Amino acid sequence: MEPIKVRVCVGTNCCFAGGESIIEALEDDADLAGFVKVEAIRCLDKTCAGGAESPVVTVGERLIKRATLEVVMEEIERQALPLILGAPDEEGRDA
Amino acid sequence: MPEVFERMRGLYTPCTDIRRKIFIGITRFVLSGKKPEDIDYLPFSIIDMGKPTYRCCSYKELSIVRQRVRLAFGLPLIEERNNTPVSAGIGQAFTRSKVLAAPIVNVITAACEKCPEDKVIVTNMCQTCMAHPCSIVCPVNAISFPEGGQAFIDQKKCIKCMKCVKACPYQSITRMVRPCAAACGVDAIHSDADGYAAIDQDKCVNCGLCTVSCPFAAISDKTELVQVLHQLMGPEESRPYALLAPSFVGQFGRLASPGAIAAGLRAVGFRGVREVALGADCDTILLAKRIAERKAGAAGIVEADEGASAAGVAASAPAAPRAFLGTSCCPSWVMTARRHFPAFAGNIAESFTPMVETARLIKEKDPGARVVFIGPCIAKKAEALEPELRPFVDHVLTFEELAAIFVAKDIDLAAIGPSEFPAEASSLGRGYAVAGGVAGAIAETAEKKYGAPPLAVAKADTLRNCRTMLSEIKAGKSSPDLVEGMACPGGCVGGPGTLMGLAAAKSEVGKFAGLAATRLPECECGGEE
Ligand code: FES
Repeated sequence: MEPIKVRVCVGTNCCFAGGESIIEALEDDADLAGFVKVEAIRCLDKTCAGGAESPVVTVGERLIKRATLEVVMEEIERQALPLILGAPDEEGRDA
Repeated sequence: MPEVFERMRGLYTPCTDIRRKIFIGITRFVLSGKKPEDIDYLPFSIIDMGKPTYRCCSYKELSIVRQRVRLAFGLPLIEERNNTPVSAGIGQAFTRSKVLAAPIVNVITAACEKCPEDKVIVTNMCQTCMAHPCSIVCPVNAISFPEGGQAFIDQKKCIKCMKCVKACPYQSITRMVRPCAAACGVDAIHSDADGYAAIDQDKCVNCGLCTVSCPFAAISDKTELVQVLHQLMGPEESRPYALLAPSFVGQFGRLASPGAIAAGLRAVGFRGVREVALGADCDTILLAKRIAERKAGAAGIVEADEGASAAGVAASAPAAPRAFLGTSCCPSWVMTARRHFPAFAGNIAESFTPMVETARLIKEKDPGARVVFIGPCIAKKAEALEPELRPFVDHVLTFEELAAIFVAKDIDLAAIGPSEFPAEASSLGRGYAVAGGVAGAIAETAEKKYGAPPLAVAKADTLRNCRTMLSEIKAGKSSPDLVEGMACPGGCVGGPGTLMGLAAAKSEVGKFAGLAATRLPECECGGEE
């Protein structure tokens, strides 16, 4: 299975709004090792809007503005579960 | 269990969030040229009226934010009951001069939730078990089971021996201590008549660990942001120099190199950037020489030290003070050691701190220069208020306060390409930021440069541990040559004004120290006092 790419902006705006603590927490989380690949990135084309939308994180394809560790973890879990358990069936139940 | 200030460390909590929003808010306010009286509107741009996020209602949030704004401007709190507007006397904060005054660390009473000071309590997990070891081990018979229900502790009898806590098979009994008081290593926090936390300013040594330990952000320090901003906006020739404390490396994110931080400081208007590790080198040389001479049998120095404080010591000195030399760079440690162990007062070096030494280097060359120290430290704000040090250091900011200026001015340090950071200081000087680094630098320099024999070193971080260390020396359990004390856990890299996790910060400081041109200090002033 391809690891899910989590990219955390550590531009100054995002760092100051908590980006640094998000990336540190993800890197320190031994349970994530293997199926999540964490990467520190520079300012994402001013997605942060001067810090108002900071911190900015992408999990797979999904862009999360004003990210918090809770929201990022939830998204990682949402994307990782089908990979681990197999695709959900039509009704959305886990296989 | 980790110390209270370690538990929330590195997490971005709503307490961190509100503090940073205020710093950014007032920086933008000042930069946009708003008038002092407009300040009454500022709190409304920071909180959402009608949508209380943390407290019972918006009005309470509003009155707390008002107080935070006052402190961030460097002004005293407003008397809650008098209904004074935020703007009262705010005009005086709009200046390049110093307005900061003691007390630096303040309790915002409206934000304090009066948590129990220190209580052993039975939680809901109590199963009313048959064995009930809690009441069996209790030496004062404080535990009963009213109506056959859960255990109940009579607080009047409880002596907090913790025996029941250890005995309970369900871990249902716990000791609840006020986080601010638990964080305070000098027992300066008590309750006022209404049960709110209050700081005994005669005991407080301004370490600031309570400010980052209160889960309601009810304790806060004053800042000099507004006055520094006025200096930065002033005419070219009166712009200040930035002095970066050795712990600055890595604080602004992993993609912000030391060179980029220096470039960013110039971009927001600082005239020049020097590292405080330079002043640390002066101190290392001074103390290394002194301790080497002492070891070589030149006892004159010991007597000189004792003479300097003989007046204060004479009355309380039980026996001859041991001849150790104590480091002097952490003002909270120095205050704690002198107050709690007056017999040792003369053992702490009388030298200037690295901050002051570095400021002196600048002002000797350029007497009109203004100097802003930027560090992890709240105690430095108080140190710079000392009358004899005022001429050297004009203002003090924390890394967190500086970062707000970068954000408000839209400076992205991660986007600044590779830039040089001048290699001025030694690798040992750069190591002052981490606990053990100061004594390590002095011992290594004394041995390698001044031929001292291997030194016995004692060191401690956090004020509680520092006090234990000194008690042991006093009791004769150890007799070191050199003693290092640090108020913050892990040293300056663990200070309340830092932005980066401890482990990452330590490793960045180590890498930067490795880049220095020399390992041993070669200070410009040659270690003169
Ligand atoms: S700094 Fe993160 S998106 Fe701009």
